[in-house]
Amino acid sequence: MTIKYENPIRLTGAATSRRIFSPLAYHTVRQTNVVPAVIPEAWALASWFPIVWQRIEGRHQLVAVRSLLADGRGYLAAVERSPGLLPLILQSYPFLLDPTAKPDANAARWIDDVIADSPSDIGAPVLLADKRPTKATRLRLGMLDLFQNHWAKTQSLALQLEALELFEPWKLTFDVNGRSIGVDDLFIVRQTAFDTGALAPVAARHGAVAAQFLALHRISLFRAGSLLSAARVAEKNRAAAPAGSGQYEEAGTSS
Amino acid sequence: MSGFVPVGKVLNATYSSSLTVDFLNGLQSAPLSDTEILSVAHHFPICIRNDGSLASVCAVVESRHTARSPIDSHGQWHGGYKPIALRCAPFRLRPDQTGNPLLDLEIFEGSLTGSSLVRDGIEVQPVCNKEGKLSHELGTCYNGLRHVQSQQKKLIAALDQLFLAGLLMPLAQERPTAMTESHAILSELRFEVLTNRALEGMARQTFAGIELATAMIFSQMHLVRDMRPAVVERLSLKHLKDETQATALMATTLDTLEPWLDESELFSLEEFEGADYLPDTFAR
Repeated sequence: MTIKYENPIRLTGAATSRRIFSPLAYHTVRQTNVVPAVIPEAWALASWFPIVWQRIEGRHQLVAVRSLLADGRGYLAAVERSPGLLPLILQSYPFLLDPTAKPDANAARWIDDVIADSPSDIGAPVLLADKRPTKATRLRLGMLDLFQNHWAKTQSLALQLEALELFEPWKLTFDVNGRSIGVDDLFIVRQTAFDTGALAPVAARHGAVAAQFLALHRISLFRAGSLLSAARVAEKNRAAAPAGSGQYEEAGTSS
Repeated sequence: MSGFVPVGKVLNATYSSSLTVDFLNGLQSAPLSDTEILSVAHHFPICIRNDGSLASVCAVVESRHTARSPIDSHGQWHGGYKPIALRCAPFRLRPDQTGNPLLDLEIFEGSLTGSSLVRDGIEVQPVCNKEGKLSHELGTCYNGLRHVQSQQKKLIAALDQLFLAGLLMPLAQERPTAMTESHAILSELRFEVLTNRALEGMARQTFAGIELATAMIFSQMHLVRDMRPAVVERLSLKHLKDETQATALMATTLDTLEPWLDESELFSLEEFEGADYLPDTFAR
Protein backbone atom coordinates (compact mmCIF):
# COMPACT_ATOMS: atom_id res chain seq x y z
CA MET A 1 0.00 0.00 0.00
CA THR A 2 1.25 3.44 -0.83
CA ILE A 3 0.03 6.48 1.01
CA LYS A 4 -3.44 7.42 -0.16
CA TYR A 5 -3.32 11.18 -0.33
CA GLU A 6 -6.82 12.61 -0.40
CA ASN A 7 -6.46 15.93 -2.16
CA PRO A 8 -2.85 16.64 -3.14
CA ILE A 9 -2.25 20.07 -4.64
CA ARG A 10 0.80 22.13 -5.50
CA LEU A 11 2.23 24.10 -2.59
CA THR A 12 1.65 27.45 -4.19
CA GLY A 13 -0.78 30.33 -3.98
CA ALA A 14 -3.67 29.87 -1.59
CA ALA A 15 -2.29 26.52 -0.40
CA THR A 16 0.46 28.36 1.50
CA SER A 17 -2.12 30.00 3.73
CA ARG A 18 -3.46 26.68 5.07
CA ARG A 19 -2.91 25.74 8.72
CA ILE A 20 -1.06 22.52 9.41
CA PHE A 21 -1.32 20.34 12.50
CA SER A 22 0.53 17.45 14.13
CA PRO A 23 0.77 14.55 11.67
CA LEU A 24 -1.29 12.37 13.99
CA ALA A 25 -4.15 14.85 13.68
CA TYR A 26 -4.74 13.58 10.17
CA HIS A 27 -6.80 10.57 9.19
CA THR A 28 -4.37 9.59 6.44
CA VAL A 29 -1.43 9.32 8.83
CA ARG A 30 -3.34 7.26 11.38
CA GLN A 31 -4.67 4.91 8.72
CA THR A 32 -1.49 4.22 6.80
CA ASN A 33 0.04 1.03 8.14
CA VAL A 34 2.58 0.32 5.37
CA VAL A 35 4.77 3.32 4.74
CA PRO A 36 7.55 4.01 2.21
CA ALA A 37 10.92 4.43 3.94
CA VAL A 38 14.55 5.19 3.12
CA ILE A 39 17.71 3.47 4.34
CA PRO A 40 18.85 5.83 7.16
CA GLU A 41 15.47 5.54 8.86
CA ALA A 42 16.14 1.91 9.69
CA TRP A 43 18.24 2.83 12.73
CA ALA A 44 15.21 4.44 14.37
CA LEU A 45 12.42 2.29 12.94
CA ALA A 46 13.93 -1.18 13.35
CA SER A 47 13.18 -1.09 17.08
CA TRP A 48 9.51 -0.93 16.28
CA PHE A 49 8.62 -2.16 12.80
CA PRO A 50 9.72 -4.72 10.25
CA ILE A 51 11.61 -2.84 7.53
CA VAL A 52 11.03 -4.84 4.35
CA TRP A 53 10.11 -4.34 0.70
CA GLN A 54 6.72 -4.34 -0.93
CA ARG A 55 6.18 -5.01 -4.58
CA ILE A 56 4.41 -1.93 -5.91
CA GLU A 57 3.82 -1.20 -9.57
CA GLY A 58 6.51 -3.63 -10.63
CA ARG A 59 9.29 -2.43 -8.33
CA HIS A 60 10.45 -3.19 -4.81
CA GLN A 61 9.67 -0.28 -2.51
CA LEU A 62 11.28 -0.20 0.94
CA VAL A 63 8.53 0.06 3.54
CA ALA A 64 8.00 0.08 7.30
CA VAL A 65 5.11 -2.13 8.41
CA ARG A 66 3.51 -0.22 11.28
CA SER A 67 0.52 -2.49 11.82
CA LEU A 68 -1.02 -5.63 10.39
CA LEU A 69 -4.38 -3.86 10.17
CA ALA A 70 -5.13 -1.25 7.53
CA ASP A 71 -7.92 0.51 9.39
CA GLY A 72 -6.02 2.55 11.96
CA ARG A 73 -5.92 -0.20 14.58
CA GLY A 74 -3.27 -2.63 15.77
CA TYR A 75 -0.47 -0.19 16.57
CA LEU A 76 1.89 -0.62 19.49
CA ALA A 77 0.70 1.71 22.23
CA ALA A 78 3.90 3.77 22.32
CA VAL A 79 4.01 4.13 18.55
CA GLU A 80 0.42 5.18 18.25
CA ARG A 81 0.84 8.40 20.21
CA SER A 82 4.35 9.39 19.22
CA PRO A 83 4.85 11.52 16.09
CA GLY A 84 8.60 10.97 16.54
CA LEU A 85 8.17 7.30 15.68
CA LEU A 86 6.50 7.97 12.36
CA PRO A 87 8.52 7.25 9.23
CA LEU A 88 9.86 10.42 7.58
CA ILE A 89 7.23 10.55 4.89
CA LEU A 90 4.47 10.61 7.51
CA GLN A 91 6.35 13.03 9.77
CA SER A 92 6.35 15.44 6.87
CA TYR A 93 2.59 15.14 6.28
CA PRO A 94 0.53 17.01 5.06
CA PHE A 95 3.43 17.90 2.78
CA LEU A 96 4.37 15.46 0.08
CA LEU A 97 6.50 15.18 -3.01
CA ASP A 98 4.85 15.64 -6.38
CA PRO A 99 2.93 12.36 -6.70
CA THR A 100 2.98 12.58 -10.49
CA ALA A 101 6.80 12.45 -10.59
CA LYS A 102 9.56 10.23 -9.21
CA PRO A 103 10.59 11.32 -5.71
CA ASP A 104 14.00 12.37 -7.00
CA ALA A 105 15.78 15.69 -6.64
CA ASN A 106 13.47 17.48 -9.03
CA ALA A 107 10.18 16.56 -7.38
CA ALA A 108 8.18 19.61 -6.30
CA ARG A 109 6.62 20.06 -2.85
CA TRP A 110 2.89 19.53 -2.63
CA ILE A 111 0.38 19.59 0.19
CA ASP A 112 -2.52 17.26 0.91
CA ASP A 113 -5.32 19.80 1.15
CA VAL A 114 -7.43 18.11 3.81
CA ILE A 115 -8.95 18.96 7.16
CA ALA A 116 -7.20 17.65 10.27
CA ASP A 117 -10.02 15.58 11.77
CA SER A 118 -8.38 15.10 15.17
CA PRO A 119 -6.33 18.20 16.01
CA SER A 120 -4.60 18.35 19.38
CA ASP A 121 -3.53 21.99 19.13
CA ILE A 122 -4.24 25.14 17.17
CA GLY A 123 -1.73 24.26 14.47
CA ALA A 124 0.40 26.70 12.53
CA PRO A 125 0.16 28.36 9.12
CA VAL A 126 2.36 27.11 6.30
CA LEU A 127 3.75 30.62 5.83
CA LEU A 128 3.78 33.62 8.11
CA ALA A 129 2.32 36.92 6.97
CA ASP A 130 5.75 37.99 5.75
CA LYS A 131 5.93 34.82 3.61
CA ARG A 132 8.55 33.14 5.78
CA PRO A 133 7.87 29.48 6.56
CA THR A 134 6.88 28.66 10.12
CA LYS A 135 8.99 26.32 12.25
CA ALA A 136 6.47 23.51 11.66
CA THR A 137 6.79 23.99 7.92
CA ARG A 138 10.58 24.09 7.99
CA LEU A 139 10.78 20.96 10.10
CA ARG A 140 8.43 18.95 7.93
CA LEU A 141 9.88 20.08 4.66
CA GLY A 142 13.25 19.15 6.14
CA MET A 143 11.93 15.63 6.72
CA LEU A 144 10.74 15.55 3.15
CA ASP A 145 14.20 16.71 1.98
CA LEU A 146 15.81 13.83 3.86
CA PHE A 147 13.44 11.30 2.35
CA GLN A 148 14.05 12.73 -1.08
CA ASN A 149 17.84 12.84 -0.62
CA HIS A 150 18.01 9.16 0.29
CA TRP A 151 15.35 7.85 -2.07
CA ALA A 152 17.70 7.28 -5.01
CA LYS A 153 20.23 5.29 -2.96
CA THR A 154 17.45 3.28 -1.36
CA GLN A 155 16.05 2.47 -4.77
CA SER A 156 19.49 1.67 -6.13
CA LEU A 157 20.01 -0.91 -3.38
CA ALA A 158 16.64 -2.50 -4.14
CA LEU A 159 17.49 -2.68 -7.83
CA GLN A 160 20.78 -4.44 -7.12
CA LEU A 161 19.13 -6.93 -4.77
CA GLU A 162 16.54 -7.54 -7.46
CA ALA A 163 19.19 -8.03 -10.15
CA LEU A 164 21.04 -10.51 -7.94
CA GLU A 165 17.74 -12.33 -7.29
CA LEU A 166 18.19 -11.87 -3.56
CA PHE A 167 14.58 -11.14 -2.68
CA GLU A 168 12.20 -13.77 -1.40
CA PRO A 169 8.52 -13.39 -0.45
CA TRP A 170 7.71 -12.82 3.21
CA LYS A 171 4.34 -14.09 4.33
CA LEU A 172 2.99 -11.75 6.97
CA THR A 173 -0.60 -12.93 7.17
CA PHE A 174 -2.18 -14.64 10.15
CA ASP A 175 -5.48 -16.13 11.12
CA VAL A 176 -6.85 -14.24 14.12
CA ASN A 177 -10.24 -15.25 15.42
CA GLY A 178 -11.08 -16.82 12.09
CA ARG A 179 -10.16 -13.68 10.18
CA SER A 180 -7.14 -13.40 7.94
CA ILE A 181 -5.09 -10.32 8.76
CA GLY A 182 -1.73 -9.09 7.54
CA VAL A 183 0.05 -7.41 4.69
CA ASP A 184 0.50 -8.86 1.21
CA ASP A 185 3.28 -8.70 -1.38
CA LEU A 186 6.12 -8.25 1.10
CA PHE A 187 9.69 -9.27 0.37
CA ILE A 188 12.81 -9.74 2.43
CA VAL A 189 16.41 -10.46 1.53
CA ARG A 190 16.74 -14.18 0.92
CA GLN A 191 17.70 -15.58 4.30
CA THR A 192 20.19 -18.05 2.88
CA ALA A 193 22.07 -15.11 1.35
CA PHE A 194 23.33 -14.17 4.82
CA ASP A 195 25.03 -17.55 5.19
CA THR A 196 26.91 -17.31 1.90
CA GLY A 197 28.92 -14.67 0.12
CA ALA A 198 25.90 -13.58 -1.92
CA LEU A 199 25.80 -10.14 -0.30
CA ALA A 200 29.47 -9.33 -0.90
CA PRO A 201 28.73 -7.52 -4.20
CA VAL A 202 26.18 -5.37 -2.38
CA ALA A 203 28.72 -4.39 0.28
CA ALA A 204 31.28 -3.70 -2.44
CA ARG A 205 28.96 -1.39 -4.32
CA HIS A 206 27.01 0.35 -1.58
CA GLY A 207 29.44 0.34 1.36
CA ALA A 208 28.95 0.55 5.10
CA VAL A 209 25.57 2.28 5.14
CA ALA A 210 23.97 -0.42 3.02
CA ALA A 211 25.80 -3.24 4.79
CA GLN A 212 24.55 -2.01 8.14
CA PHE A 213 21.10 -1.55 6.70
CA LEU A 214 20.90 -5.18 5.55
CA ALA A 215 21.67 -6.30 9.09
CA LEU A 216 19.12 -3.86 10.51
CA HIS A 217 16.57 -5.24 8.07
CA ARG A 218 17.07 -8.70 9.58
CA ILE A 219 16.97 -7.32 13.14
CA SER A 220 13.71 -5.54 12.37
CA LEU A 221 11.97 -8.75 11.33
CA PHE A 222 11.74 -9.68 15.00
CA ARG A 223 9.18 -6.91 15.43
CA ALA A 224 6.62 -8.95 13.52
CA GLY A 225 5.72 -10.77 16.74
CA SER A 226 4.93 -7.46 18.43
CA LEU A 227 2.69 -6.41 15.55
CA LEU A 228 0.83 -9.72 15.73
CA SER A 229 0.31 -9.29 19.48
CA ALA A 230 -1.02 -5.76 18.96
CA ALA A 231 -3.30 -6.93 16.16
CA ARG A 232 -4.68 -9.72 18.33
CA VAL A 233 -5.47 -7.23 21.09
CA ALA A 234 -7.19 -4.97 18.56
CA GLU A 235 -9.24 -7.85 17.18
CA LYS A 236 -10.16 -9.00 20.66
CA ASN A 237 -11.33 -5.49 21.53
CA ARG A 238 -13.36 -5.34 18.38
CA ALA A 239 -15.01 -8.66 19.17
CA ALA A 240 -15.75 -7.52 22.72
CA ALA A 241 -17.30 -4.22 21.64
CA PRO A 242 -21.10 -4.22 21.86
CA ALA A 243 -22.75 -4.59 18.45
CA GLY A 244 -23.79 -1.24 17.01
CA SER A 245 -21.81 0.68 19.63
CA GLY A 246 -19.75 2.23 16.88
CA GLN A 247 -16.71 1.96 19.12
CA TYR A 248 -14.70 0.20 16.45
CA GLU A 249 -16.39 1.59 13.42
CA GLU A 250 -14.87 5.04 13.36
CA ALA A 251 -11.76 5.56 11.35
CA GLY A 252 -8.73 5.98 13.50
CA THR A 253 -9.96 3.97 16.46
CA SER A 254 -7.16 1.82 17.69
CA SER A 255 -6.24 -0.74 20.29
CA MET B 1 27.97 -14.43 47.82
CA SER B 2 27.44 -18.09 46.98
CA GLY B 3 29.60 -19.83 44.44
CA PHE B 4 29.04 -22.78 42.15
CA VAL B 5 29.49 -26.46 42.75
CA PRO B 6 29.50 -29.36 40.26
CA VAL B 7 26.18 -31.21 40.34
CA GLY B 8 28.15 -34.43 40.74
CA LYS B 9 28.95 -33.31 44.28
CA VAL B 10 25.34 -32.67 45.26
CA LEU B 11 23.54 -35.59 43.68
CA ASN B 12 21.40 -36.17 46.77
CA ALA B 13 20.47 -32.54 47.18
CA THR B 14 17.45 -30.60 46.10
CA TYR B 15 17.33 -27.15 44.59
CA SER B 16 14.84 -24.47 43.69
CA SER B 17 14.75 -22.59 40.42
CA SER B 18 13.03 -19.76 42.25
CA LEU B 19 16.17 -19.11 44.32
CA THR B 20 18.02 -17.51 41.44
CA VAL B 21 17.80 -13.81 42.29
CA ASP B 22 21.35 -13.71 43.64
CA PHE B 23 22.54 -15.80 40.72
CA LEU B 24 21.08 -13.37 38.19
CA ASN B 25 22.13 -10.31 40.19
CA GLY B 26 25.69 -11.59 40.27
CA LEU B 27 25.94 -11.99 36.51
CA GLN B 28 27.74 -9.46 34.36
CA SER B 29 26.83 -10.97 31.04
CA ALA B 30 25.28 -14.07 29.52
CA PRO B 31 26.62 -15.99 26.52
CA LEU B 32 24.42 -16.02 23.42
CA SER B 33 23.72 -18.58 20.76
CA ASP B 34 24.29 -17.27 17.24
CA THR B 35 20.56 -17.63 16.62
CA GLU B 36 19.76 -15.27 19.50
CA ILE B 37 21.83 -12.25 18.54
CA LEU B 38 19.34 -10.42 16.32
CA SER B 39 16.53 -10.88 18.80
CA VAL B 40 18.61 -10.00 21.86
CA ALA B 41 19.73 -6.77 20.15
CA HIS B 42 16.22 -5.48 20.83
CA HIS B 43 16.62 -5.98 24.58
CA PHE B 44 20.23 -5.95 25.83
CA PRO B 45 23.58 -4.44 24.95
CA ILE B 46 25.60 -7.05 23.07
CA CYS B 47 29.31 -7.21 23.76
CA ILE B 48 32.34 -9.42 23.28
CA ARG B 49 33.60 -11.05 26.45
CA ASN B 50 37.30 -11.70 26.37
CA ASP B 51 38.62 -12.63 29.78
CA GLY B 52 41.43 -14.96 28.91
CA SER B 53 39.52 -17.93 27.58
CA LEU B 54 37.89 -18.05 24.16
CA ALA B 55 36.18 -14.76 23.31
CA SER B 56 32.40 -15.02 23.26
CA VAL B 57 29.38 -12.98 22.24
CA CYS B 58 27.37 -11.97 25.29
CA ALA B 59 24.41 -9.94 26.42
CA VAL B 60 25.23 -7.44 29.16
CA VAL B 61 22.72 -8.06 31.93
CA GLU B 62 24.46 -6.38 34.89
CA SER B 63 22.01 -3.74 36.06
CA ARG B 64 24.59 -0.96 36.52
CA HIS B 65 25.26 -1.13 32.80
CA THR B 66 21.78 -1.65 31.38
CA ALA B 67 19.22 1.06 30.80
CA ARG B 68 16.59 -1.16 32.41
CA SER B 69 17.33 -3.79 35.02
CA PRO B 70 16.14 -7.14 33.64
CA ILE B 71 14.96 -8.47 37.01
CA ASP B 72 13.18 -6.88 39.93
CA SER B 73 13.91 -7.41 43.62
CA HIS B 74 11.66 -10.49 43.63
CA GLY B 75 13.55 -12.12 40.81
CA GLN B 76 10.81 -11.54 38.26
CA TRP B 77 12.07 -11.14 34.72
CA HIS B 78 11.30 -7.86 32.98
CA GLY B 79 13.94 -7.92 30.31
CA GLY B 80 11.85 -9.03 27.34
CA TYR B 81 13.61 -11.87 25.57
CA LYS B 82 15.36 -14.12 28.07
CA PRO B 83 18.55 -15.66 26.68
CA ILE B 84 18.75 -19.45 26.71
CA ALA B 85 21.69 -19.38 29.14
CA LEU B 86 19.61 -17.49 31.69
CA ARG B 87 16.66 -19.80 31.29
CA CYS B 88 19.00 -22.54 32.47
CA ALA B 89 19.54 -20.78 35.82
CA PRO B 90 20.66 -21.81 38.42
CA PHE B 91 23.00 -23.87 36.25
CA ARG B 92 26.03 -22.98 34.21
CA LEU B 93 28.84 -24.83 32.46
CA ARG B 94 32.26 -24.59 34.04
CA PRO B 95 34.70 -22.72 31.82
CA ASP B 96 37.20 -25.57 31.50
CA GLN B 97 35.20 -28.54 30.24
CA THR B 98 36.13 -32.08 31.22
CA GLY B 99 33.58 -33.96 29.14
CA ASN B 100 31.95 -35.32 32.27
CA PRO B 101 28.50 -33.73 32.68
CA LEU B 102 28.57 -34.29 36.42
CA LEU B 103 31.62 -32.09 36.69
CA ASP B 104 30.92 -29.69 33.84
CA LEU B 105 27.39 -28.75 34.91
CA GLU B 106 27.56 -26.52 37.95
CA ILE B 107 24.76 -25.36 40.19
CA PHE B 108 24.52 -22.08 42.08
CA GLU B 109 24.98 -22.93 45.74
CA GLY B 110 22.40 -20.36 46.79
CA SER B 111 19.70 -22.36 45.07
CA LEU B 112 20.42 -25.58 46.96
CA THR B 113 17.83 -26.50 49.55
CA GLY B 114 19.48 -29.46 51.26
CA SER B 115 17.80 -32.83 50.93
CA SER B 116 14.27 -31.80 51.81
CA LEU B 117 11.62 -31.80 49.09
CA VAL B 118 9.71 -29.05 50.87
CA ARG B 119 11.20 -25.80 52.07
CA ASP B 120 9.31 -22.76 53.29
CA GLY B 121 6.57 -23.35 50.80
CA ILE B 122 8.77 -23.00 47.73
CA GLU B 123 8.86 -25.63 45.07
CA VAL B 124 12.03 -27.69 45.04
CA GLN B 125 13.35 -30.37 42.71
CA PRO B 126 15.81 -33.17 43.27
CA VAL B 127 19.10 -33.07 41.39
CA CYS B 128 18.73 -36.79 40.64
CA ASN B 129 15.62 -38.79 39.93
CA LYS B 130 14.68 -42.05 41.65
CA GLU B 131 16.87 -44.00 39.25
CA GLY B 132 19.89 -42.03 40.38
CA LYS B 133 20.29 -40.21 37.09
CA LEU B 134 20.20 -36.47 36.48
CA SER B 135 16.65 -35.19 36.56
CA HIS B 136 14.73 -34.21 33.45
CA GLU B 137 15.22 -30.50 34.21
CA LEU B 138 18.96 -30.84 34.65
CA GLY B 139 19.25 -32.78 31.42
CA THR B 140 17.38 -30.07 29.56
CA CYS B 141 19.52 -27.31 31.07
CA TYR B 142 22.73 -29.17 30.28
CA ASN B 143 21.67 -29.61 26.68
CA GLY B 144 20.61 -25.98 26.44
CA LEU B 145 23.91 -24.71 27.78
CA ARG B 146 25.89 -27.02 25.53
CA HIS B 147 23.78 -25.82 22.60
CA VAL B 148 24.75 -22.19 23.34
CA GLN B 149 28.36 -23.20 23.68
CA SER B 150 28.40 -25.09 20.38
CA GLN B 151 26.62 -22.24 18.57
CA GLN B 152 29.21 -19.78 19.87
CA LYS B 153 31.82 -21.67 17.89
CA LYS B 154 29.98 -20.67 14.71
CA LEU B 155 30.76 -17.05 15.61
CA ILE B 156 34.51 -17.43 15.82
CA ALA B 157 35.10 -16.33 12.23
CA ALA B 158 32.84 -13.31 12.71
CA LEU B 159 34.61 -12.39 15.94
CA ASP B 160 37.98 -12.68 14.24
CA GLN B 161 36.79 -10.19 11.61
CA LEU B 162 35.91 -7.66 14.30
CA PHE B 163 39.27 -8.12 16.02
CA LEU B 164 41.23 -7.93 12.77
CA ALA B 165 39.40 -4.84 11.59
CA GLY B 166 40.04 -3.15 14.94
CA LEU B 167 36.37 -2.45 15.48
CA LEU B 168 36.23 -3.22 19.20
CA MET B 169 36.77 -0.90 22.13
CA PRO B 170 36.43 -1.38 25.90
CA LEU B 171 33.00 -1.12 27.45
CA ALA B 172 32.50 2.17 29.30
CA GLN B 173 36.11 3.18 28.79
CA GLU B 174 35.40 6.77 29.79
CA ARG B 175 33.93 5.61 33.10
CA PRO B 176 35.67 2.29 33.77
CA THR B 177 33.90 -0.44 35.69
CA ALA B 178 34.77 -3.98 36.69
CA MET B 179 33.64 -5.08 33.23
CA THR B 180 35.68 -2.59 31.22
CA GLU B 181 38.72 -4.80 30.77
CA SER B 182 36.87 -8.00 29.95
CA HIS B 183 34.00 -6.72 27.82
CA ALA B 184 34.25 -4.92 24.50
CA ILE B 185 31.68 -3.04 22.47
CA LEU B 186 31.78 -2.01 18.86
CA SER B 187 33.05 1.34 17.63
CA GLU B 188 30.51 2.70 15.20
CA LEU B 189 32.94 5.32 13.96
CA ARG B 190 35.56 2.70 13.03
CA PHE B 191 32.91 0.60 11.30
CA GLU B 192 31.61 3.50 9.26
CA VAL B 193 35.02 4.29 7.79
CA LEU B 194 35.66 0.76 6.53
CA THR B 195 36.18 0.83 2.80
CA ASN B 196 33.83 -0.91 0.44
CA ARG B 197 36.64 -3.32 -0.39
CA ALA B 198 37.07 -4.23 3.28
CA LEU B 199 33.35 -4.77 3.67
CA GLU B 200 33.27 -6.90 0.58
CA GLY B 201 35.99 -9.02 2.13
CA MET B 202 34.07 -9.36 5.37
CA ALA B 203 30.99 -10.51 3.45
CA ARG B 204 32.79 -12.89 1.11
CA GLN B 205 32.10 -16.06 3.10
CA THR B 206 29.07 -15.09 5.18
CA PHE B 207 27.45 -11.89 6.38
CA ALA B 208 27.88 -12.87 10.05
CA GLY B 209 30.65 -10.38 10.88
CA ILE B 210 28.78 -7.37 9.51
CA GLU B 211 25.56 -8.58 11.07
CA LEU B 212 27.16 -9.02 14.49
CA ALA B 213 28.83 -5.61 14.29
CA THR B 214 25.56 -3.91 13.37
CA ALA B 215 23.63 -5.74 16.08
CA MET B 216 26.23 -4.60 18.62
CA ILE B 217 25.87 -0.96 17.56
CA PHE B 218 22.09 -1.17 17.45
CA SER B 219 22.00 -2.73 20.92
CA GLN B 220 24.07 0.03 22.52
CA MET B 221 20.86 1.97 23.04
CA HIS B 222 20.24 -0.44 25.93
CA LEU B 223 23.38 0.61 27.79
CA VAL B 224 22.82 2.98 30.68
CA ARG B 225 22.87 6.45 29.19
CA ASP B 226 26.24 7.72 30.46
CA MET B 227 28.00 4.55 29.32
CA ARG B 228 26.86 4.79 25.73
CA PRO B 229 29.48 5.96 23.29
CA ALA B 230 28.61 9.54 22.46
CA VAL B 231 27.93 8.61 18.89
CA VAL B 232 25.07 6.36 19.94
CA GLU B 233 23.14 9.34 21.18
CA ARG B 234 22.66 10.42 17.61
CA LEU B 235 22.59 6.96 16.13
CA SER B 236 18.86 6.50 15.99
CA LEU B 237 18.34 10.13 15.25
CA LYS B 238 20.38 10.68 12.15
CA HIS B 239 17.36 11.85 10.26
CA LEU B 240 16.02 14.18 12.91
CA LYS B 241 17.04 17.80 13.03
CA ASP B 242 14.77 18.90 15.81
CA GLU B 243 16.44 18.34 19.15
CA THR B 244 13.26 18.18 21.16
CA GLN B 245 11.82 15.52 18.93
CA ALA B 246 15.09 13.62 19.01
CA THR B 247 15.15 13.58 22.80
CA ALA B 248 11.55 12.45 22.93
CA LEU B 249 12.25 9.67 20.47
CA MET B 250 15.21 8.39 22.47
CA ALA B 251 13.21 8.42 25.68
CA THR B 252 10.37 6.56 24.03
CA THR B 253 12.65 3.96 22.57
CA LEU B 254 14.17 3.16 25.93
CA ASP B 255 11.25 3.48 28.26
CA THR B 256 8.26 1.97 26.56
CA LEU B 257 9.24 -1.59 25.84
CA GLU B 258 6.13 -3.53 26.56
CA PRO B 259 6.20 -6.59 28.82
CA TRP B 260 4.24 -8.51 26.23
CA LEU B 261 7.01 -8.10 23.71
CA ASP B 262 8.67 -11.11 25.36
CA GLU B 263 9.91 -13.37 22.61
CA SER B 264 11.41 -16.05 24.84
CA GLU B 265 9.27 -18.64 23.16
CA LEU B 266 11.23 -18.15 19.95
CA PHE B 267 13.67 -20.69 21.31
CA SER B 268 12.05 -23.01 23.79
CA LEU B 269 14.20 -24.88 26.25
CA GLU B 270 12.02 -27.88 25.46
CA GLU B 271 13.71 -28.00 22.09
CA PHE B 272 16.84 -29.19 23.82
CA GLU B 273 15.19 -32.17 25.46
CA GLY B 274 16.02 -34.32 22.50
CA ALA B 275 19.50 -32.92 22.06
CA ASP B 276 22.25 -35.47 22.36
CA TYR B 277 24.85 -33.56 24.32
CA LEU B 278 24.03 -35.49 27.47
CA PRO B 279 24.96 -39.20 27.30
CA ASP B 280 22.20 -41.64 28.30
CA THR B 281 24.39 -42.82 31.16
CA PHE B 282 23.67 -39.58 32.99
CA ALA B 283 20.14 -38.70 32.04
CA ARG B 284 16.62 -39.73 32.74
